[in-house]
Amino acid sequence: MFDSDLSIGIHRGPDTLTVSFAGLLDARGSEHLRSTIEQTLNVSRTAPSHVLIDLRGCRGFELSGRGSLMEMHRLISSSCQRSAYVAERAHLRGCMQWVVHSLDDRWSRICMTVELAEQWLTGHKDRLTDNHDQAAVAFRSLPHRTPAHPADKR
Amino acid sequence: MTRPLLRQDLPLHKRLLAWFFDVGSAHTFGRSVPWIWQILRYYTVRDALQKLAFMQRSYAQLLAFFGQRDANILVGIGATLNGCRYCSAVHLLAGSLYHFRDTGQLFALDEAHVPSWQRLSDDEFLRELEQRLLSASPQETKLADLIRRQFALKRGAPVGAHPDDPYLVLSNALWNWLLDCTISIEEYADHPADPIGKDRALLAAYRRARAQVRVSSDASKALSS
Repeated sequence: MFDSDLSIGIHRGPDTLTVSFAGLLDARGSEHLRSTIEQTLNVSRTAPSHVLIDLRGCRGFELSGRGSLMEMHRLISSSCQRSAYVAERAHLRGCMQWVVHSLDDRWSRICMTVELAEQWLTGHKDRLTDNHDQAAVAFRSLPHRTPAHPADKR
Repeated sequence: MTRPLLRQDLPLHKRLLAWFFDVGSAHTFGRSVPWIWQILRYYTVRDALQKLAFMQRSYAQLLAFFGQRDANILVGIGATLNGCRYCSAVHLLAGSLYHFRDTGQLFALDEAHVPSWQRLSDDEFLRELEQRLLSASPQETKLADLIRRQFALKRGAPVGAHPDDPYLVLSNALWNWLLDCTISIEEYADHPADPIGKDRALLAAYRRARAQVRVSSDASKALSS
């Protein structure tokens, strides 16, 4: 079936399979994306180490697409070591965060930019450890025992 | 297909601890916090207690540095960007309550707009926030600057170009971590995650004032359409 409002681009680098999606992640769009990724992974001789799903061209998602997105991510997480999603809309990031959280995949991250996603893909820590370590580093860099904010002295 | 882990799947000792957390958070905030048990999903009891203590120490630093209103607003905006409806609503509400208590005025950002803001592109959302804040009061320039910087840091800008950076980075990092505990909360977040939530009279007055503005805003939209 030809979907004029959906477009999917695939680029295979040395370590990373990049899939770019443009359109709406409703039931049809999500299923289209899932089946494309399944086919791509099936025809690959060797599984990619990393998968990057670029959703910057995605207009939004609907709940009807969540099941296919779950299946898609299950495929991705079982095929590669690390994955990342890039989206420029918060509700898409929230949706994909829900998906990776629900599947208990700690090796996937949802990012605001491609650069952050690429940085994540080349890292070694799982998401929870990475996030907590970043918070610990940030905390250590603070001037500790900051006095109470003047506006709050009531 | 596996189902997401539920609270009742935790072992008994963790469920008991989760219950203590519920009681403690209800005592502190006026209502129990629905995500704390999720920490016990990922960590041992000892590690969970350490992480929560770290979270509390860190958050105290944010409150001390930014002030209660702005710390809650910044956390709320960061959570909105993460796609978390729960954290965004409860912290924006807490920030709004501090603003309402201190000025008698409604804050420029209404927590009820979170779902529609999350559908905007990041650039559109930033423009929307700036426009709302600056049109409400020129005194909000500093907060608008902080939010602009928070956006930049979340997008990977190098840290250190701004004196507030360490605190904004800490705020972003903490709620990135917490996101794994809060993203699955589907209940409606209508209570602040802050001790100000214990002030029932203030909360009721705020809700009445917000409801009036929402009704008149809806009416003017209906008239103009």
